[in-house]
Amino acid sequence: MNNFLGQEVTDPTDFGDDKLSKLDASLRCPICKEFLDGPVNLNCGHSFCSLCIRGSLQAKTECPCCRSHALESHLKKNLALEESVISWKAARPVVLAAMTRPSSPPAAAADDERPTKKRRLNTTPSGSGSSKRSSFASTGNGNADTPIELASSPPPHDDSSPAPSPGDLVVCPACSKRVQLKRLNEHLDRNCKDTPVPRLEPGKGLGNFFTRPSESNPPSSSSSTASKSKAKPREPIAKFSYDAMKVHHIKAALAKYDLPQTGAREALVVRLQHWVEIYNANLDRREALQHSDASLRAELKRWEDAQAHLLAKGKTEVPEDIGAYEDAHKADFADLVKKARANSLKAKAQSQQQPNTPAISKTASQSQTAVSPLRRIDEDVIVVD
Amino acid sequence: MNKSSSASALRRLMTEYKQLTEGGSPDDMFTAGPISESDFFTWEALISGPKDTPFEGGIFVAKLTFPSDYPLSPFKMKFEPPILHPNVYADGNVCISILHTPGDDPTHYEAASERWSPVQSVEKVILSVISMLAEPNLESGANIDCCKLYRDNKPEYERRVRAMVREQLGL
Repeated sequence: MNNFLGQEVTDPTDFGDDKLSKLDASLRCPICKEFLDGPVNLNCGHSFCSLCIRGSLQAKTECPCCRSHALESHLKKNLALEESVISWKAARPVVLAAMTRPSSPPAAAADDERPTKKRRLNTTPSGSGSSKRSSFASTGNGNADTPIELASSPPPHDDSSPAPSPGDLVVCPACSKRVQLKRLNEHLDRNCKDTPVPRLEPGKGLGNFFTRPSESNPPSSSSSTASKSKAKPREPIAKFSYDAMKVHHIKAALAKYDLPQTGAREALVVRLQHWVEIYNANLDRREALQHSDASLRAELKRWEDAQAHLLAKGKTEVPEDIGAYEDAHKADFADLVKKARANSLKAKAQSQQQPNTPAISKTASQSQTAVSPLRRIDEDVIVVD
Repeated sequence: MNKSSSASALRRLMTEYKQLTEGGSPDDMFTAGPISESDFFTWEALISGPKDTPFEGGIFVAKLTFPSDYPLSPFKMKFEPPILHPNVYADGNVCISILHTPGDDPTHYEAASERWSPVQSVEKVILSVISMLAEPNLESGANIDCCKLYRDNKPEYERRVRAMVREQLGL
């Protein structure tokens, strides 16, 4: 679990009490509080990550926000919202960087260049310093405009598209050179030292970037069908009626998707259920962001491992009050330390004796190497004491 | 049966924790966070008694226990030590509709609209509990003796609550 603590958690409060927090929150799933992943709408209009709402609907067939009746078949993917989320995710670090650099406000820096004026014609007229913020104020749900002033190179885009694509040129808030949006972070990290203004590369969008690692995930069982199923367009899996299925039916369904068929009936059902969930949820991502079957299988495996780990963890009790536990078992700890000390002394004595017994020198040296890691553990115990 | 991964529960808890620590609670009425870094699924909340109620001036400690499929299922909330309140069981467990899933209804008085849903959060639940401290719900009482006392002899109820607050503060 500890490895999660190293992860960066982003949330709307990163912006302080601001209109930006609202924008940030509006692009997050109300269930998992992360940025919407494969966003879908319900009939009532509320949006969620596809996987989150599928799990929630399985527990209760209602919208978690307004409690109106909802079914999995009502889910509709929302491509515009997905686009907004992707654009905002890309723009977010830039906004944060610009906010934490008060010495060179981006608006002032960009005033020297022509793009700002052009840009102002397109946006609402506003006071010079606050132009960055006010452009955000009017963005209701998902119109993720960037904080940095857009360069004029693709001007017809400005009003029609909700956000600059990663290939678009933007003005660096620090050095006011023009840089592609997707390179801006890299550029800022290098203290603006790289050469800006590369040409637009239409093929290299954000999509390619995301799909690349999918093949590197090890497939859980065999990858033979992975390449096969990739060729044809993927269809959502129809729901199974698990209660009516015999075990061999379930196994056949699992085999169809190249999933492991081990475990009792209940485990098979849970596996198939979750597979259908993540498989169908994956189809609600735009095509470029969809995971391959192989990486979905790896995801299922990770999920199952986590479940098993959780069950195992429930059995071993973790002491509630560690201090009290230490006090209560002080004698045990002391005993263990004593034993470890004795072992270490014995091992030392043995190693000193060994040079005096040349007859079995070969086996002795072998056993010594085998013993040495153990001895090191003993020493560690003493250090702890 | 099909539980959502504990990894997503953990991420959601971390996000909520971060939001609580950085955003703070309205009027600083409470704080909440995991007791230890090794277990993110057990939290402790410190709630200050709402103003103009007998609970005013008190600081109440509650333990929050999260299930592995949070936020699909609600967490549990228990005052430790228990407090005297019509909607708190004698052992300290809180009985409030927002922490009940639509399936289980121990009192049969709750409308489905005020039950748990995955969009609820620690913050919203604790704010509900604070308003519950100020206005007990006698229709779905958990501590029946306290309910009767509240209904029949409110001054005595308030006196006992104040005494409890002083005792818990060690005064």
